[in-house]
Amino acid sequence: MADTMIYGYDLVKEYPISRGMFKRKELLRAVGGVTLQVNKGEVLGLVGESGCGKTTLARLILGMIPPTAGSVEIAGQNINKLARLERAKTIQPIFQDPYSSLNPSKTIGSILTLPLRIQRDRESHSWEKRVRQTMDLVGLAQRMYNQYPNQLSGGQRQRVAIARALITRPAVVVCDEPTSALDVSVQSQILNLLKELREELNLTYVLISHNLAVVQHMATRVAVMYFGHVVEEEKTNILFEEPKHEYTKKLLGSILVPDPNKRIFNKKE
Amino acid sequence: MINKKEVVLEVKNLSIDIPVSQGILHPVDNINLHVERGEILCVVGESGCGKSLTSLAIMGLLPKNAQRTAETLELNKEDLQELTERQLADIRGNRMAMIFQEPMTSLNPSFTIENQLLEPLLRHKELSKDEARNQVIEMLELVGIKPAEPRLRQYPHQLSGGLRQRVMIAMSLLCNPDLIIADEPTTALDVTIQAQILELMMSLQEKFNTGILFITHDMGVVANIADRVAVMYAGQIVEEGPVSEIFDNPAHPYTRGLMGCIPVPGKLGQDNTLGTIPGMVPSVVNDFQSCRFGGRWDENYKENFEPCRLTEVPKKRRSFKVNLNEKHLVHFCCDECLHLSEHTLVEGSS
Amino acid sequence: MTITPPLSRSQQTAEEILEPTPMTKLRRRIFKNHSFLIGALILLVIIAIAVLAPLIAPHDPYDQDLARRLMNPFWHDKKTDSLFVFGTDKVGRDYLSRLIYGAQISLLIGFLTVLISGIIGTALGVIAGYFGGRVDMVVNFIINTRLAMPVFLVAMAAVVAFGASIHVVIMVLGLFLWDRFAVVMRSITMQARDLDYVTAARAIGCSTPYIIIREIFPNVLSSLTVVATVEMANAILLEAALSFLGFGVQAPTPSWGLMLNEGREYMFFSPWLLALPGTGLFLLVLAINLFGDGLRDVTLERER
Repeated sequence: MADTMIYGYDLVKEYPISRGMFKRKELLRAVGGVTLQVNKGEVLGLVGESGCGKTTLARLILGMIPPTAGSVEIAGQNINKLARLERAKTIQPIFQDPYSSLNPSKTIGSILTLPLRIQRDRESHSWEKRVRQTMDLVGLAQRMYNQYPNQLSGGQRQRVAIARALITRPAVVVCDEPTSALDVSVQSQILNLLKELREELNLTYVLISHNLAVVQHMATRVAVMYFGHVVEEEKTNILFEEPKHEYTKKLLGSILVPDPNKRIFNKKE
Repeated sequence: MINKKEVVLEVKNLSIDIPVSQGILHPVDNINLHVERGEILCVVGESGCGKSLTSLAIMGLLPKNAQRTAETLELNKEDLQELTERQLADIRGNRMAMIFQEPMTSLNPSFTIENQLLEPLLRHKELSKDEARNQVIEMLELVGIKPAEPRLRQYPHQLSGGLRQRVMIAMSLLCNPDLIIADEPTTALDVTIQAQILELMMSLQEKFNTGILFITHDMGVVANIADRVAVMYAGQIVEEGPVSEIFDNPAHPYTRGLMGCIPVPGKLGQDNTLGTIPGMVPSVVNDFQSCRFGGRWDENYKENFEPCRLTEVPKKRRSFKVNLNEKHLVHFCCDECLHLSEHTLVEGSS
Repeated sequence: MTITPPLSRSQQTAEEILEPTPMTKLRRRIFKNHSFLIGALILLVIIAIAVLAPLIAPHDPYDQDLARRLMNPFWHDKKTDSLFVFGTDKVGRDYLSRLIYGAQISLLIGFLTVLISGIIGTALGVIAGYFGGRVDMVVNFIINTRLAMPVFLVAMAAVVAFGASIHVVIMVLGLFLWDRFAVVMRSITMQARDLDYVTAARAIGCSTPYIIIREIFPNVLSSLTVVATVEMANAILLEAALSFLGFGVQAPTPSWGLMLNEGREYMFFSPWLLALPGTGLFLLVLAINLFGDGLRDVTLERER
């Protein structure tokens, strides 16, 4: 049996929606009772349409927001009971927009050193060396150490974001739409990089995407979310070949395959 | 297929120059394209390749500092360059309609759907208000908004993204235009909604026999809706042809690279990695001295490979067109690339 | 097609983006912004005058001599004295020296008021914006309470209660002009809080104070300085108005507002008694506003 890396039990997240000062607050159920388990080395793809709660679920897994009910365990430890620095060493996010995820007023070097400084890493003399090694690992040129985010392209910035997430060597990385702000030719580079890193560093990914082709390419298992619930969860190839839930079928039926011989619309002629 | 189709849009040697502090930007550089009645031409390319500017140039909606030059720019044989701003405004929304990525920005938030849809009809066609209203309702039902009546009194923010895009499509079709220019109309939508909207666009296009210039970066969309495809790269159309030719038999290294980047199950290289295009798009400031695609050739392109690294291309020899067949056209920016691609130059092309 | 001399492309590798660093861009933009440069120049001159007042003032601004009262400035033909370039006031004090020391008072009040109100307003605004929810509601209530109080009337009442002095004016203005800081900082912090790099900082384990001070604060600093300039001009004008009405700085301190008041009765015979301090106030407030406007353009463009 593989080790369980992420175990989320009956996760619920409700947000109060204010309807004015004196009215009772209404509750919006963003995630309504999700149980999931991800083993070490797996890639769990979370798919669903906008507003289905996948980003909220990701933030719950990251421990950035407390669940209304249920709990998340990462490597056997409750994420919400972990100390801030411990949590940071266990699980890290990668965001969608590499233009807003890097502080524009800091150099790449200082962005990448920050996690080490925050962790009060003892060997401060080795910080720069480790930052430069990590830059190497994600394919960033060494001269970028002293450059600012606005001097890098979108793909390079996303590499910086990945390097920042990996420098403290977390076991789990949550990628929230890691390539949807990027061009296809850059997307393929980033996806390849994420794949390589997973093998090299033995990482566990939670990959959130609305792009089903990306999920199919990357994930080992896929969970389909619909209105705050996981409606179907299955190994990737099984799910894509034999979807069982109606919504999954609808979702898969909407995929536009980049092959003119496999059109989903009936065209004239 | 009918052989001689009517050409709705004819563009020849369209260039856009934008003066900036470092020199002159050439975001669009001598491109040729045409759209026939009843066909969808997809212009596909990555961000910054000039595809959106091309559409704005055709509509005459370029930002003020951008200069447009074109040998031919004709809508139904009518020269768009000669028209005054007033005449152009009459054509836009009437004979040439547009659909944008984010319908919220093209629908006025402070008017009801009815007001916005009536406006072009009352403006371009001589109709009474009741007749126009009936046409609007009919068109809304045609784009799948049923029942249409209650929607008329709503404001854009009360509609979902998919519904708004349907309203935009209804609006674009109201005056029965010759040409619809759609700039990434489904990019902001969820996949299931995207499929519905695209299906709708295709069925309506068939019904009204309009020509559509469809701009997108999504190869999946292209493969599913296009009749013909034009691939843009760094301000130029590098390859143009029927959709099956482009996908099954891509000739330009950029098109090939792009195809290799898309995750398609069962179409992956060894060790399950995606293809990449090395390097970056060159900046389009000033005239190109070097090869635009230089250094970006994928090593899988062929054996014994040495990518084109021309840094100086004589000005006279910066454009090569290769006709693979009657309809499939490839465009190389330098003779080195042409040579590498192992295509031969067809006589008579420049 | 226009052909311009081409950039040498061979000098750069294909992967380089030729973007200057944020600081270089900022510097370039500053030198293109005329209102910023003019405002900064006038402001610097006034600050220099105020700081160097003991060195450049020709006379003691408190030195009275009724024998030489109401001397005309140099552009008049009669009753002038080359020792008193801008003439003298009703008790024979050198007007130029009083103007120079007046700049000190105005700037002092401007800076100290903005410092006090800036600290109060920014703290409240940033805390409300970052934490939101209940905290935000409480801060909003405080802001609304403050907005419901008329600054001028309360200031006059305070002066009556505590006695008129420059300290009381500074304290009253400082404790009252923080509302705009709080409102602006609150909304900017709210926007900044949701930026991905702030979330990323939380994910790598930064503490809340660290995030507020190191990640959010530097990015709201430009807006803060813009608000500060507006409030500074506001404070200087309020002080002048209070002093003019006799509720502010008291005689014989050379405040521009007080000088306007003292010159009032001679308005028709010696109009320069009003014109000179009026021009001083006008120039100072104009410079601060130009500077603030320019600063906003320069820094906001950077964020775009």
